[in-house]
Amino acid sequence: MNTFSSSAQTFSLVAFSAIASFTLLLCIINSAERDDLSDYYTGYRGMSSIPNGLAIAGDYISAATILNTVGFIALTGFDGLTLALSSALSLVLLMFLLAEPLRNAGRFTMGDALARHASDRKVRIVSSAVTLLALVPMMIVQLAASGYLVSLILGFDGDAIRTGCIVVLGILMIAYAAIGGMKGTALIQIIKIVVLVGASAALAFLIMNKVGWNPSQLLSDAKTGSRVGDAYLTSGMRFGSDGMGKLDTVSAMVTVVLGAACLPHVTMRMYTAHSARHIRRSMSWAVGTVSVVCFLLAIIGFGAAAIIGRDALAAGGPQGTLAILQVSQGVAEGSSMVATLLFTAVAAAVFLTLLSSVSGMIMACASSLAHDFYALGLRRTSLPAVRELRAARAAAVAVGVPAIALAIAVQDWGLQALITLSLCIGASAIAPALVYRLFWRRYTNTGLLYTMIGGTLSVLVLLAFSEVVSGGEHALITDRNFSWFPMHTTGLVTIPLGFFLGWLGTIRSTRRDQDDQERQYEAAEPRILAGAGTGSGSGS
Amino acid sequence: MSYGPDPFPPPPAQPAGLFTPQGPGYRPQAYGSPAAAAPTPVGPPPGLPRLRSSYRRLRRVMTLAALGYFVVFLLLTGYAPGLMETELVGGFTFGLVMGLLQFPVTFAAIIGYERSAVRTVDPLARDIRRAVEERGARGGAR
Repeated sequence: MNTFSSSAQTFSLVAFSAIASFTLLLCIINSAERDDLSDYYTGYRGMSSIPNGLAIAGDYISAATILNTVGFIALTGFDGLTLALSSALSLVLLMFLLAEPLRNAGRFTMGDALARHASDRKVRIVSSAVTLLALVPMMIVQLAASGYLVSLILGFDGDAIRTGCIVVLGILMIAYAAIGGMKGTALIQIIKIVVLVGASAALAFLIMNKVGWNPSQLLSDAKTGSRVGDAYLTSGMRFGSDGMGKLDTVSAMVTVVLGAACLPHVTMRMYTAHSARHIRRSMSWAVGTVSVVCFLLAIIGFGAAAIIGRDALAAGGPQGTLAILQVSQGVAEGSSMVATLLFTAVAAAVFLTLLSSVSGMIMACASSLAHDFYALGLRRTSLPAVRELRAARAAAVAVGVPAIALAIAVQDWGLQALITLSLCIGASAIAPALVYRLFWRRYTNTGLLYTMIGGTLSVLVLLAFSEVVSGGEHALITDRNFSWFPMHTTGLVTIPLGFFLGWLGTIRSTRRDQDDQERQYEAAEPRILAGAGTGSGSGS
Repeated sequence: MSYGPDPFPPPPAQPAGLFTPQGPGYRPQAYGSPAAAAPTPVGPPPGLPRLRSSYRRLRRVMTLAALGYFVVFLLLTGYAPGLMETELVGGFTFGLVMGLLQFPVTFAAIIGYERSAVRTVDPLARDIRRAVEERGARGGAR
């Protein structure tokens, strides 16, 4: 276990308190009107494209992304780098394929984009359920991580303190979502991304400075530090280089590329733009920012391997999750002032990322519960805006509190499985459903339900019998082994399955159903393609 | 804006027969507005097929460019490890250089996408929005 210097801990404590109170204040100031749904769910679409792009980037880069990417690069070199590249690519694909039609077709939530008709209750309820299933696991991982990291950074010890940290931070995250809505969480995301870019740029600068601005030196130091030599810069460190290992690597990449950007808390940000052109500009900023961050994380990852070395990294966390903190402590050894400032900045960035990422996810879950499940799924009569908004805020609590409880219960487990679960559901259920719905005019509701339910169930089943749940090195369950599925992600099987099921459900629907869908699609096409009637304005 | 015959008829791959205003399956619909039963004849706005195909072309080209680079990278990583491990300069292997080059490729792709979208798609989309809004006004919906 690593310990950090006491001045760094004091500084971090001050920084954390300042961040927590400032961001909460920001949320209260920007709270939505009592009866204004559009304000709460989309922040009035009032932000210009740069802040909006930064908010998308902020929502996209979760704490799990940062910690895992740096850890993976530090420990597995080339394989970690391809993971960072897939994360960046996923957002590019979202921009090119889905962002504009999604912005035009949707209103507040995933259910709005998927259900074409007010009477599509089943679609609403299922999209709400899939939203929760995709995001709650990711929330649990980050909540558990926040308890661990914050108590570690501040130098507290003991289970009670960790649990206390999870509870306090969890309440803060719920408050952001419930009070601030989309606008409040967007502001936090923007602050987070600015702090993150600044801190990682400073860290990358010091790392490059340490190796004399010679990238070759960084690589050879990293090879030495990794203690595997040339293998560090070749594929196969993560899953092995035999046939199944290669398939496993491909599966992991494909799952991240299709899944990461389709998660509902990211797609929800698409609806905050006021026109297709606006979302395009915003996405350019988002993709640019995410690419820069991924590049900096790559330098930091190599730097961690070079400066900290494999043994200390592996001791810090199961998959090198502490790498970014360890290297920020190690890179400036000798100059305690710089070391303290740098460590505080990096710790603040991680802290902000944890807070904002989870609150963004709570926001997406709460919106989906209130809007898709309650207001348009369960009820047969329309719900007044005041009551829906109240429901959304209550839903933020209703999602957040059980997530906190679960995070406390599982905080000592190996939680990689839960991140995999989220990404696999995003890639196997949500991505096919969105692609079909936006581009296939005869896609029926039956097909949609087949994709969403079948895709999600197949992920749950296959993952349950894979090494990430039992039998693997950092598995969820350690005392038993019932795994037979040979890969660490299910994407290679479940993504084609999700697409296949959507096709199967559609051709098994009646001809009338298909014709109906086609007619509805054609009626909606001017809206989906051109944004007609969505308040895009025809002036510009 | 006139409502004359569409100057850009849909490509033959997508016959519009069933849902053209005279087709058997046609039912007038307005776009989410209560004007569905308006007396004005409402077909697909002119220019929609053209917008559809420009969007499709843009999407395909850009997705293939971005995804293609990555797929080639992935395939080479898996099935041509010898090539990827070739050292180019100063410890940088071919694979590492190709991976890092994805960042500039990404930037080029988003700039290219935005530029061609503004040039090809936006004017068509603007015309359709105007047409739909005017039609809504004529039908008394607004």
